[in-house]
Amino acid sequence: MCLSIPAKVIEFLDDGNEAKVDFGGIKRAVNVQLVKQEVEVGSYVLIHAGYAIQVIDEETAIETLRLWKELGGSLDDFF
Amino acid sequence: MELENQGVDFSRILEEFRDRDLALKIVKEIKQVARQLKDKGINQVNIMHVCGTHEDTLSRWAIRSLLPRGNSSECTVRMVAGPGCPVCITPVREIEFAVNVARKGYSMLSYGDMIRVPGAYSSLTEAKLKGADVKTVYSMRDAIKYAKNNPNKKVCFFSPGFETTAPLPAVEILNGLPENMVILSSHRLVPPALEVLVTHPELNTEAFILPGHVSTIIGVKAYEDFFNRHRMPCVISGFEPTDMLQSIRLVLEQILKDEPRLVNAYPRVVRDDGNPVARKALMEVFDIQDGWWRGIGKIPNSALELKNRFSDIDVKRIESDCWPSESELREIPKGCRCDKIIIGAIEPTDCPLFMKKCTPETPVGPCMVGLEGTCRIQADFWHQQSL
Repeated sequence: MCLSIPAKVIEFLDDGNEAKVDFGGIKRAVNVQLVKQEVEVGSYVLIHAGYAIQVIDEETAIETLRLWKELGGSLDDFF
Repeated sequence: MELENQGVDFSRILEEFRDRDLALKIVKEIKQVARQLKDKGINQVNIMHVCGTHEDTLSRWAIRSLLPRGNSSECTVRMVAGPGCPVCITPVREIEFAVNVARKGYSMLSYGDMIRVPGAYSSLTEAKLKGADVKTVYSMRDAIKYAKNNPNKKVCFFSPGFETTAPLPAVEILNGLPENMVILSSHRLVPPALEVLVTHPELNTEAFILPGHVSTIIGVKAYEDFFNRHRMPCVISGFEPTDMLQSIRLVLEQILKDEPRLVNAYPRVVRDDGNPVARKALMEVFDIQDGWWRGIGKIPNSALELKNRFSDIDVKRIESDCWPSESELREIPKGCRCDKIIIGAIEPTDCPLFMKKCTPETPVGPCMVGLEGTCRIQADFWHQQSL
């Protein structure tokens, strides 16, 4: 039920409350009201049942992977 | 892959969270900590998650098979599934109410497993077979479209789900629903359930993996009170295999150091204050009330009910004569052990019906119906796990 999938914002539709997003090739319109203040064309957003619930922070994602790969991600890295 | 390379498409970077080599590296680190725990005299660590999507990750990627199973040199790491399936914990009273509302002539729209889940006597699927207008939707957006396209029908959207899902109806209610549409809110909150679990006599866990997408909405701060009261290791986890493995590792490390913490291991989408727009919408639309959880009972301050100013779209009030008249309804079918499985006290394989009388094709209990039910997920990956 809490399954949410990343998708890339392609374009805003109508009043900007909706956007067309790309789920790795499959394009669908979703509601983006919950992330309206942050979302841009090209942003990756987390889609839950047709609604974007968060913008995925790209820099943080890259930094997380770097920590896990290089340092082993010790507990202290999370503070 | 050079991650810092700006030319790399971000979707490729997200795929790295499924990287086999990274997963195996973390597994190696987990085994190392498991050996240190054994040296300290700890033979088993039980870690509970409370999210069906976490159970899906564990089963889909056979993560349990990668974890230390206990031998003379390492401690056992056991993953326990808690109440993470909103469909499974939706009370039979609300299911029977929905069936009665559908029989009264409303078009009842909801997610697929909500329609299949059995109540005490019936299910929405049975109501449909007997002529009621019951439809499966992928999104509330589809329900709104249906209401707009069918202005002569009275449309009810049966809305279950935890904090991840509740902002969706909240935002649409604030936008204004079509005039012929009403809501059946069956939303539940996770932190109050953690509070009940942690004091449950049958609880067998030393740490919690917290649900990443609930946390996306409510934020890290929402767990601070719980953590400060109980001082158990708590790690907010994402849903890729390396996310879960890393979260398990972080739990073990806290137990080894005897240093419980509330850790956000899913910072790419979970912020300290969650999604403030979504939280605000929730507070504008819903009141927090005591809520019933199937298999668990009443949990204080765990349900989201529509505020008085939305009583004109609240089907619970509009059709109050549709509530079942019995004061008590059978929550769990005879012989079924879902009440124990929902709280993680037993495994699906401990239930005598599992994969015998109760299968995904012929489910008996709610945990086999809900797509995020512990029994259903373990059944779907049954073949893989028995290898």
